[in-house]
Amino acid sequence: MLRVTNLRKHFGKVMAVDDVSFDAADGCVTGLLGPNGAGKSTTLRMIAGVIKPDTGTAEIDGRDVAADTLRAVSALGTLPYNSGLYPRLTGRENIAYFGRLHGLQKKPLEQRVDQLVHELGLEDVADRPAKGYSQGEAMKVAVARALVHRPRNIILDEPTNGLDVKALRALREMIRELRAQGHCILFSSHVMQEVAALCDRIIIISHGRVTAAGTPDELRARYAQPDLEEIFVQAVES
Amino acid sequence: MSTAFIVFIKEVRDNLRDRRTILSALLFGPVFGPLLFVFLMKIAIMEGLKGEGELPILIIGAAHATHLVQHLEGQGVQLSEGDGEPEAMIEDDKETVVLVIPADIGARYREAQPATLQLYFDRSNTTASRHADRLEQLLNAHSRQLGALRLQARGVAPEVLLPYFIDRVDLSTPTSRGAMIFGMLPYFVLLATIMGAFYLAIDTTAGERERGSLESLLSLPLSRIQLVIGKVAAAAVFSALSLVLTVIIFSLAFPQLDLGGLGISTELRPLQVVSILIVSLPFTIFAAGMLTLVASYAKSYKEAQTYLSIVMLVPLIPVIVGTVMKAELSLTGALIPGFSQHLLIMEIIKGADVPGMYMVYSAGTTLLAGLIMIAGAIALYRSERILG
Repeated sequence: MLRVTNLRKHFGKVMAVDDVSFDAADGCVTGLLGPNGAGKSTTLRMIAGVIKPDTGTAEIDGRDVAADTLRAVSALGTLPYNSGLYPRLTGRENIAYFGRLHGLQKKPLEQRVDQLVHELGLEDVADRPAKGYSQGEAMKVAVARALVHRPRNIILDEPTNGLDVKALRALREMIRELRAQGHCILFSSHVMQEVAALCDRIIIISHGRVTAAGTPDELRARYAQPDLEEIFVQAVES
Repeated sequence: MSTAFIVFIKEVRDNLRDRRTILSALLFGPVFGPLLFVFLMKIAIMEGLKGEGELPILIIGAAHATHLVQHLEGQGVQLSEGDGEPEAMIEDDKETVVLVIPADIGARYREAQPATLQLYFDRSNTTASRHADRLEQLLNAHSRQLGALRLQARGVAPEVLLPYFIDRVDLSTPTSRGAMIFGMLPYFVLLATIMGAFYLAIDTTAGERERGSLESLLSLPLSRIQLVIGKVAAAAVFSALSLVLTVIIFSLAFPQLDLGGLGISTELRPLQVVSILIVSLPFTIFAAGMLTLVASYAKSYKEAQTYLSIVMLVPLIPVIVGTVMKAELSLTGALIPGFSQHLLIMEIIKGADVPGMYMVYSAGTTLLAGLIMIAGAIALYRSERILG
């Protein structure tokens, strides 16, 4: 469960995030939708504890990230917009490195890595250096790395960027699988189709502010408009 | 396992697979350095022996002073008769040295008056300059001989013109003469220490950011202090590896210089090798801290490379200046990171007893400067700007 309340962050004179509040519930895929530069990445970074908000709070499972960063982010897994793997390490080593940094001990870590490699179908590639991976393989290993410490909450920042059709499909399946397991998934994108295809709830953000939020059906009803794409355009311009 | 140790192990393992890091740590310093050094020394030695070689001189007006010509030829000077303007001859061939004998030399000699011999050469040409110096020495010696004869002919003992003799007593030992040749060794040792950590420091900071793995890493529940310590420790270990290899290979390569015949010792005894390593080790922390700090500040791999290739010269500049100016170990010198290692290594090579206090000062200030730069890197990693 993720919750942000009245979050604000400025860089110089630019108000990147201006009073943003929303919840992302467990067992639910929440989409954070907005054009480039709307403040999505900044919001996600504040939830991940990488940067601190000027005012307002971000909470992970009820823990204030700014006040108790290390414990709060232990319950969070993140997938950056590119896979962010270490190219000279094998897939298995990439996953294990993050596991170790999360404090997993040798034996349980080995078991967990084997389990993830098996579940994500990475047996054939896990022992090869990451630099030779296809986009889909790199994305899967990055997901495994984000999940290594069994976080309840998962953030994906523009995960579909640059993925080919095959990798995109695999990612969608994985996200649905994680939802079925009861994870809280927050997913950012600037493409409405991506969000519409996956999300239970959509939060539209523009110029650092939330301009619309709700399930796809709620949004359609509120805007009296069946086309989500059209709703997105209206919400961004409002 | 502490976070710093986990990061350290990962960075070492990761960089052992990087060709650039390995080349700079294991090849550039330890192999390229000593090779270049031995090559330069061989050339310097050959140049030094050139003094005994041929001495070709162009002479104008040889007919005016046949006894002088005979004397010079007897001394092994290759005289060839020339005709024309000395300036033009030197213009044609910069190595030419021209000796001009005036037409009145015979008359002036008979009157016991000094005659002026003109020596034309180009001082900026080392060969010509050396030839001119040797010729001048021969002429001076001949001039003194003739003067002595004149005095004797007048019943005066030639010794009256010699208030003193100079007897040069050279107290240098084979080891201390070797130290002159070794003058550049500290430079190569410090350069290797920096190069050992160079690419690793870039890879673990600017490189990690450029590949996009930094953001994921920073969103993990880990202490940034420990993160930076792990990275700096990996850089320091590669730096130390390069240092140890370089010093060992130098100690193996020096005897190959074969300078025994010149009365110069180029042997590094095991105790000297160990002492050099001990005084140099604090510099690995300094180098790792400096390179990590500056590379963390850079926005991309390329930018870091540019910054570091400039920054790495900073501790080396006093070393180069000190070598040229033949600086001696002093309290001030012992306080400057890099330069103090240079001075201490020189003392060790000379075979002198190095005062322990100076070693402590050198290690102390070098480590302190290193820790300040590591603290700077930690501050950078704790700030938001590290994400760029």
